[in-house]
Amino acid sequence: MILFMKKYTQLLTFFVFMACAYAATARGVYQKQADFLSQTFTGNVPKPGLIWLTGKIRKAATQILQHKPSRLRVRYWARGMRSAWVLEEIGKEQPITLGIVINKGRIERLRVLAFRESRGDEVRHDFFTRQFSQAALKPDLQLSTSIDGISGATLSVRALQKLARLALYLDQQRQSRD
Amino acid sequence: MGRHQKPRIKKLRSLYIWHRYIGVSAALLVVVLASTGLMLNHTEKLQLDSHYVSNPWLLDQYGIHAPANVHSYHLQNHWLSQWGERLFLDQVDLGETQEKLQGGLFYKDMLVIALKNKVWLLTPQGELIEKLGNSEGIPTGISAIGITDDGQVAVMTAQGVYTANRDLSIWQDAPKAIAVWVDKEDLPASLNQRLLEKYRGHGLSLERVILDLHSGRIFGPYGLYIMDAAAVLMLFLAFSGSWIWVIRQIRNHQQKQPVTKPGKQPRRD
Repeated sequence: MILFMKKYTQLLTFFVFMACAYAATARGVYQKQADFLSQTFTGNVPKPGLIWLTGKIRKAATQILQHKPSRLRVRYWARGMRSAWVLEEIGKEQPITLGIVINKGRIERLRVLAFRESRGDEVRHDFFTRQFSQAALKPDLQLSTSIDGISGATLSVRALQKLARLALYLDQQRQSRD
Repeated sequence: MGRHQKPRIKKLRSLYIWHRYIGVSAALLVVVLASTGLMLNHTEKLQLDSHYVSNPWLLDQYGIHAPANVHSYHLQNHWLSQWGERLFLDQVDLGETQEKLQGGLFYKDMLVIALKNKVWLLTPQGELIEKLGNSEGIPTGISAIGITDDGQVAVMTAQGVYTANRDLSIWQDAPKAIAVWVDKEDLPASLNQRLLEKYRGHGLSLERVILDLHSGRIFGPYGLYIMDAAAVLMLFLAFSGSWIWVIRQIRNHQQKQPVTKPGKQPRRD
């Protein structure tokens, strides 16, 4: 009986350890902003530009995020038709930092730079972020391509979709302004 | 009348008296339990977690006091201060930060706040414009903020003086910059008192108080047992009430049945 209990206690300890280890690995900084920008512009990072989220831009950003933007100014790095954006949105409780590269109005690359939630970090993998490649923004501010969800990471998926839409919208504003 | 009926009535009367006295003594606690329970069931609708208690006596009971150090700076006609983790511009709550406030200034319709490792840009109304840090070119270890002799915003960091461009988007090291740094100043007594009340008032949510009232913890270490006693009394009331009702039903049923006198034969026609 004691041997039986011992065996199961060890098994339980193992599973608890694995669960904790999994939760711990879900959080992390996967790429620094500077490295992301350097990689995007092959070492020659342009000076940042600024977009103020006021007036109609704020209204559209609120519609996309489904809440007021947490800041009034967003910075971007652009060279010609190509621009890079580093944006943040809360998944469930913690902000997810995303780096998005847009080329000629379509997403060229999307990368999770930092993930701080305890669950749902599957969104950082290439198999998921690849889905955003070549996505554009439709007039109704939705993505032109459908994104398959991940069970157990619904809120993270939603946060990434919102940020992709916001980056595409802000890029349109940048281009019309420049 | 049966031989055992009198003692049974006596017992019932005694139970009834107990039921009555216990009911009266538990009434207040039942009201507290029921009303707080109802409120806790609808915490979100009533927004109990976003309402705060400002009663000084209650705050003292919870040990919510002023922070040991309050950092404050005089910016033109305004006061910027840090109370614990909370930042205030005059009485406007600017949000929370774990970093120590190092100073602030107004620059072109922007409030620029220097924290240990970040610079916050806000509107004069307190709305966040941007948070700047290492990624934006500002080194960590900020110890002061000021204005250079040519009108640029400057921060003193662990790696030397850094100055910003006109829209505060690009920061560069400027070892030769001469700046006037913003110094700490004590808050005026009246504002200090108002902010103290505000800071303490933000420390205790209504939900916490109602939860503690419901569990009895608000009455100290023995409060829990008072509420336990109330729960036991309520259990007793439920059983005694049901028992009294059952006995009465039986008695009423017995009284309604026709009584036949002994020795009297029914008449035969």
